[in-house]
Amino acid sequence: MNEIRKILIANRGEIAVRVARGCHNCGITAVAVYSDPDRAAFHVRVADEAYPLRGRTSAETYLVQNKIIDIAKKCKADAIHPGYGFLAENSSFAQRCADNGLIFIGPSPEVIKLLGDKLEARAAAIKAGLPLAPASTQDISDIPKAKEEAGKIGYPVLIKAAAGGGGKGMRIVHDEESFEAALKMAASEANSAFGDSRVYIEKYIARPRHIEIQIMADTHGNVVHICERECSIQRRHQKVIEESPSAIMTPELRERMGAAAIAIAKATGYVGAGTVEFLVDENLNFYFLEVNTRLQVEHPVTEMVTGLDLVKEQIRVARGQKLSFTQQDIVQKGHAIECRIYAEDAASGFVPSTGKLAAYQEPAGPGVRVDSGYLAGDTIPVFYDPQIAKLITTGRTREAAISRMERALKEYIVHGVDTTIPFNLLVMRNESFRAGKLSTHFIEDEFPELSTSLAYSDEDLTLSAMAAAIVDFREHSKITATATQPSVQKNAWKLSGRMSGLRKVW
Amino acid sequence: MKKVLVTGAEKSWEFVMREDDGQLYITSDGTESPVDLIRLGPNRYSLIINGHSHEIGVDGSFDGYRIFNGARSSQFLVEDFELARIKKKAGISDSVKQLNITAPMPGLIVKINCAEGDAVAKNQPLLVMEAMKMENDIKSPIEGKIKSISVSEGDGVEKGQVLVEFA
Repeated sequence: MNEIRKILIANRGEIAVRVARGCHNCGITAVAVYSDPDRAAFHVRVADEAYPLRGRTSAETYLVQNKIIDIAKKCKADAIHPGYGFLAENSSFAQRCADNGLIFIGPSPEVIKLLGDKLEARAAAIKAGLPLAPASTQDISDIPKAKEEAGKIGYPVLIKAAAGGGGKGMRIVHDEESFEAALKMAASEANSAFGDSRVYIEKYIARPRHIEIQIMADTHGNVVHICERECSIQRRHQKVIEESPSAIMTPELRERMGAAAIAIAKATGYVGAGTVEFLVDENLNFYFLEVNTRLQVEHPVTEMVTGLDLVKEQIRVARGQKLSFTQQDIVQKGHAIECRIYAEDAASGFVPSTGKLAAYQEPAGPGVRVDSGYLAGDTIPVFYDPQIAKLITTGRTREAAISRMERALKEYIVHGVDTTIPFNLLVMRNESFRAGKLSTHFIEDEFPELSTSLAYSDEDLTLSAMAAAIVDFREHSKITATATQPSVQKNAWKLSGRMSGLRKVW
Repeated sequence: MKKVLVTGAEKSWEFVMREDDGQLYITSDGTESPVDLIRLGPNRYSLIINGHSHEIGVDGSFDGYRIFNGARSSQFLVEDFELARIKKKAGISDSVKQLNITAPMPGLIVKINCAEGDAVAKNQPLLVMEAMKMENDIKSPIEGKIKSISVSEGDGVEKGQVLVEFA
């Protein structure tokens, strides 16, 4: 058994807090690292030890392998938990951890490398007998060849980064005319995001559902699937609302998808927590998408319906112990939904809205869990992902979980930045969502004019106007003869944004 | 008694505020309601209007107020009703707008594809900005000449920050 008494968490925000809690649940010392803007961040305050990375951007801090390994060695950490994002799926980092006698909490560097390369992962999936959508089998940097491949597969096609993830370097192409420009943009984006410009083409499946299987594997050859999560509601290929079980899941389909997930895990020698992603078409055919070799953002949904602590299980596996459960022990109970709470203005195309959380109060009560990276008074920095928290609700039924989510969203107080709370409320109240009719095009299909759907009601706007008048009267009395318009710059932006339409400018 | 004009979100409202024996009343659309406002902390208030309880956030750090209500916010300007009317009659309006490009969201400037003094065409890509995990071209909204560029490659920018000014 590997001794693990101290874990360095190579991440920030809510996942660093979540992992620290997992460490504390196991009696392990949690070590935080932080960038300059994160000195006072929640993940630093919740940790037992904290060391500076010095610098501001991700590239100067949370992505610098040397700095993190140096700190881990100096503070005598036994293991490194990478969370998600940053170095979580970086095989060279996992290798360097091993070279320095540190346990990397995740699969081996070889497995990360294999599954992180989308082309190699596809090949592994084919070998393991998983169903796949038609795609080019290799890198397609040569444009005439790539065009030929795309023509063979048939438009619309999806251009994806071989090293990709999170929608970076991904483009949907509807015809040959726009193919070349999209290919160049995708390759350039892939290069800047992953330092690898290789891209490939895949058949674009219309209106699929995104359903993934959580897996957990130990070093003794045990692989268990921990049921599904449906993550069909996405914007810009990023998940925003997740749930378990899926509204369309049947025990038979779950069994088959679970078996497929276990097959690729076994074929590749997977160890630790992972997620096998699938697209499911209207006839419930499923197609292998990719394997995420990390703990997912949406893992709490699985924890809430199975009662497992996935971080605790990860640590168990890293210690070399056997899984604490078998396939027969896994029971999916009730329903869980997760809404991601981002500091973004959904009405203007989900643009980040960073700044200080003047007021911040999380909902509570029966069936409510909040995994958050911030506290009241904190500032959301511009340098990183603008995620504030994840709000998870549970219920005996899907309806009960949705009702609780609606209640919890209404209770959530965030002043100072715009958030995706109004957007999440809109989805919870949507008839198609309530009926379980989902696809990855849900947002475009249901809310073609999202900014209109999200507009303030007259009643709420009048209340806000009254509040302004009352606060002015009681507290500030800014009424003077020289009262001016709000600054021209703000108006100019509003005007130009409205006139030209944000999306067109971009 | 005080009559105010509140403008914001392309709308305007008239309210009458009245205080009687320490009790505040607000009249909107001919209906008067009792008001109780309590400060909970900096920029945070509990507001009860006619028995309905609301929690309100207020940012008053500029000429108007940004009001947070139900996880949304909107900006309002509160003016004395009579003064606002006189101002309008006298034709006092917004100052002349200077044409510039501001950052539509926080992000990082990856590349600058133009220089000061350049004559640019409408829709010509001027800058590449990385935001929301994507590289985005920022295009010229007009045909014109660039007076100044106020950012450098590698700069982090806030939403609304001026990037390029036109002559």
